[in-house]
Amino acid sequence: MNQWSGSLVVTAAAAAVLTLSACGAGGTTHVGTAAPPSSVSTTVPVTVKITQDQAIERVTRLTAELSDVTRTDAKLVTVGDVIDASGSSVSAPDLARAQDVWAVAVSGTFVSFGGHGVKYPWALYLVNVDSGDIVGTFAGETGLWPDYWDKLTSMTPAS
Amino acid sequence: MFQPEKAHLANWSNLGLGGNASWLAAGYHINQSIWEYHGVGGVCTNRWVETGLTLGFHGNPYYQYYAAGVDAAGYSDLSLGIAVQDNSSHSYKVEQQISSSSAVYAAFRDGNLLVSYAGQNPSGSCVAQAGLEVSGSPDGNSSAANFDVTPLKYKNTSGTWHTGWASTSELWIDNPCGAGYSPPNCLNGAYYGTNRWQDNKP
Repeated sequence: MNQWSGSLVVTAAAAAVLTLSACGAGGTTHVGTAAPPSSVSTTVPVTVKITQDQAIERVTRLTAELSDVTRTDAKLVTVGDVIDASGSSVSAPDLARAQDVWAVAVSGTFVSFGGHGVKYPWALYLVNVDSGDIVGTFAGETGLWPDYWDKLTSMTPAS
Repeated sequence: MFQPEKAHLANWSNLGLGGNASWLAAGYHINQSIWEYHGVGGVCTNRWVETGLTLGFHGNPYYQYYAAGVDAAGYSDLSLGIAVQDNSSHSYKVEQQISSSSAVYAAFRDGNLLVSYAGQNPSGSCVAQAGLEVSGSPDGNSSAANFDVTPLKYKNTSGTWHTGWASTSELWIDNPCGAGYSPPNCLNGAYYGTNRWQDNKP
C-alpha cells in the first residue's frame, strides 16, 4: 500500500519549496541549510467538508442495507489506499485512486448493493470528503471487521 | 448441460428509474443491470461482475452508473459517475479478457472499459442475466420505465459471437407485474420470458 498517495502529501522537496515561499512572503520561520532526504515525506492536513462523525452518520443511516451494527470507525485515506490494502483486484481506468475519502468500517450485517443483495458480516464504505456521497464499498465473508484496517494510515483533517 | 460462455452483451436506454426520497436515503435502490457469474471451485455464484444504471447507490439520491463484483478478496462496488436520463441507448457487456486462460473479466459500456476483476473462472460464465433489480420488495416506493435490453449477443467458448442469449442466460425482473405480483408490489414490465421487455417497450 502506498499510504502517502493522494493530494494530501508533499515530498520533502515540495515542503521545502512551500517553506521558502512562506518566507518570501514575509514569513520569519526557519529555513534549513540542508535539504532533507528526498525519501522523507511530510503530511499536511487535508481540507474536508465532511467530518469524521458526519461520514459515520452518513453510513449508519443506511438502514436498508445495514443492521445489527456493533462497531464503527473511520479513517481519512485515498481510494487507492483502500484498494491496495484490501487486496482487491478491481481496476477501473476512470477511477480516481487519489481521491480523498473517509473509509468508514462497520461491523454488522451488510446487504450488498450488487449481486442481488448478499449478506456480509462487515463493510467498508468510501465517503467523499466534500459531498458526503458514497463512492464505493468493500465487504468480506470472514471475520467481523476488515482485517486490513490497521494497514490504513489515516491522514489528518484540517481543523 | 452446462455450457459456459465468454461474454454477454445487452443494450438499453437511459430511461426512468424512480424512488421516493426517504426510501433512497435509507439505502434502497433500483437498478437496470447486466451481470455474469464466473464461479470457481464448483460454486457458480462465488465470483461475478456486474454493471449498469442505478438510482440510490448507497443513499446517493441521483441517477448514476456503477459496477460491482466479487473476487478472491471479497465484494466491492464503485460509483462510475452521474448518468443523464436522456433516453440515449448504450451497449453493456461483460467479457473475459485477453485469452482463454485469463481469469479476468471486465465490464464495458459502448465498448469502453469500465471495470475489471481478476480471480474469476477462466472457463467462462455459468449464468448471465440482465434486467431490473430492486432492493427489498416493491411497495410503491420505486418505479421503472419499461426497459428493453435487446438486441442481445453472447460469445461462446470458441470466441464466436452469436445473436441472442444462450440457455444459461436470462432476462430478469424482480417481482414482475403480471407474474403473480400486482401493483404497487411489482416492477413495471410483465414477465413474458425472454420477450418481457420487447412486449413492454415504451
